[in-house]
Amino acid sequence: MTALAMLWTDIRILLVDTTRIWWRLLPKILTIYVLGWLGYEVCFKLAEIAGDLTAWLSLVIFAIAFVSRLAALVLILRMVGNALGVRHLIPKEEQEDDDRDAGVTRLLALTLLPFLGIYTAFGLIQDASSQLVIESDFRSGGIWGNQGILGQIRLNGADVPARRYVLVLAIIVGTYILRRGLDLVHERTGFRPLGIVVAFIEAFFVLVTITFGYDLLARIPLWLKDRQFMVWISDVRHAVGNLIALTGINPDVFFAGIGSFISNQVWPVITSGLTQPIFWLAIAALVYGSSVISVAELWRRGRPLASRVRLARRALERAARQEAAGGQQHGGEHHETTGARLVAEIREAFFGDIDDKYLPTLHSLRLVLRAGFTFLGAYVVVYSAQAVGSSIWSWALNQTIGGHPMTFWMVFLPAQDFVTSLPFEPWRLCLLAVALRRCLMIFRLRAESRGTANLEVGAVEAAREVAAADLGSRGTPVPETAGVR
Amino acid sequence: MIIALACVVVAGIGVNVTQNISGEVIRTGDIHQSLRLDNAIVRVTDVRTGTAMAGQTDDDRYKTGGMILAVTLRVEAPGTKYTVGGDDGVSVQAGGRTYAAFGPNTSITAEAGFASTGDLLFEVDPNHIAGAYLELYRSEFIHVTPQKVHIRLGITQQNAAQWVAAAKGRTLQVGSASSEPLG
Repeated sequence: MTALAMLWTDIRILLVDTTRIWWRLLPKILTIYVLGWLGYEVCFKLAEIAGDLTAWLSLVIFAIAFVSRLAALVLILRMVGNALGVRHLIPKEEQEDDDRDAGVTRLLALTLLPFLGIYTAFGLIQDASSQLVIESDFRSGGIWGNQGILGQIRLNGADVPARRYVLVLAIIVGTYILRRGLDLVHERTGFRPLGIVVAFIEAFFVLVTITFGYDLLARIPLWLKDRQFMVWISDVRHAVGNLIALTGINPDVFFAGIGSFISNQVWPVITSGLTQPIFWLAIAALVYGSSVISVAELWRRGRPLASRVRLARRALERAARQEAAGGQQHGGEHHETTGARLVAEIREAFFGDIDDKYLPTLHSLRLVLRAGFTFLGAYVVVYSAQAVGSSIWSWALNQTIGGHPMTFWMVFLPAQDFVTSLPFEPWRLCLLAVALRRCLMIFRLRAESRGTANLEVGAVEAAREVAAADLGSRGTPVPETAGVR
Repeated sequence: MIIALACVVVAGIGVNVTQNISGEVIRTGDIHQSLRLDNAIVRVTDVRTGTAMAGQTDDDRYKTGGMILAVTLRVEAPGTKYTVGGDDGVSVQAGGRTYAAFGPNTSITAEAGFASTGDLLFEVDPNHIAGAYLELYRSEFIHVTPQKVHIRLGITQQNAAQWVAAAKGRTLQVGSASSEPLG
């Protein structure tokens, strides 16, 4: 089969399957989507009003708004994935109990943190925060009126008092400690609503850090400009420019041209055409559990991941702690030292986020990138086609509604955003699920053709060894019957 | 791999181009045509050219090495008070250039229930006036999709030279804006 024929096959599969599943589940998808949108808009308006009382309350409510939107997204992905049978692709022996199927709150608690990380990376939280500032400024009569939501706590501008820096840092550190503490309690007790509270706090933490972090980071270039090494870099650039001038080329035009080409032509093409679709596919894999990622890796390479993602190991560790606690109560031996446990807890407190948020995302990203160029090309084309369609729809809607002053948009902008996103966002989520399923099918077919598809026993053994080694390092033995089935 | 790269490039270009589609909504009209702009109605009633201007005081006298375009604009405010112009809300676009208003009238305000008429002056390059149009919109510090109006001034590639010739040595008399109640 030629490469073009394979490309067309993948494009056709993605388009047809996505449209079919989207049409079949449309009422349920729309219901969840509308509820998520409603929760977001209500919280957004409440955040604006709360800004008149205190900026911090406003940011907390806005964090809840984001959780509402992301919760709808996660639920839609799970529903579509279940309808497609994504998890049924995984052999029963490989399915790990990390409670994704145990309830909605548990699913949200497990998946919201990685999603917020990616939303931050794409600047979506920053965009929404800016929108909050703009609407708040409009409510307060423009920037010359009373201070908006963030006016009293921004770090930009002249004459920022030192105590404001201290206040901001204290809030950021305090929020982080609070979240880690609640996360620990959540892990120990398994009390599901705590997972949602943790997600709310995480969203608030991200909002605060992003909003104020930008102000701090904006000062770094100004500080760097006065450093001596910047003069050295400038001298090197000048020397290179002189060399280029010897060839008859204007060095300033040369450097400006290169910079302009990269920033205006190459970089937008890469981010629009490649990184966004790939990242969204990678994080969609998180909804279906770490076992999806691990087994796909197993099929792809013939052996499991060297280290299972932490989300799966937590189930083992929780069971191990409960077993150890039960053993102690009945007079069993206790091998754990206080110092080892303290080190483990500190490590968990400071580096747990890496396991929770970034490692699973990196694993799934790596997996998606190895699905093959043909599949990636087809997926990127289909994803971008829906993005183009969405932009054209938005333009057509704008032309229909017409231009209006800001007083009009303050009332109708939420409705316009809703109508703009409604035709395409649910379809995009269905595409993520279909693409992930196609990805898994490709790995499975390749593994079957290589004869490495049925390595369940080896995979199970490797997983237990990894988990046992990790728990053993903390002085707590792995119970024989916990975790992987 | 080449096919995948081509897909990425095509997809990226497509997304990038469509994302940059202007969100502006523009109404286009001609001289003597009434156009709605937000809650007001605007109409260009006259276009004159010259190389000097004279107003009511000596400070209003001015001579240019280029050309002065005087656009007589009528603004009707049937509902609420409306102001056209100010910092950004009025300009002449011609030959890829944007010309801001200057002189005694850089904005025209019509009170509620009144129509105001005034001359807006623009100093332009006579070599690049073909296709010139007047752009009007309400300039807001925060905006989403403002309404814009483009009014063609009747200067085309064929008659641009005649407009320039007619402007030579001509002094434009400019007064302040006048108001009258709407019927």
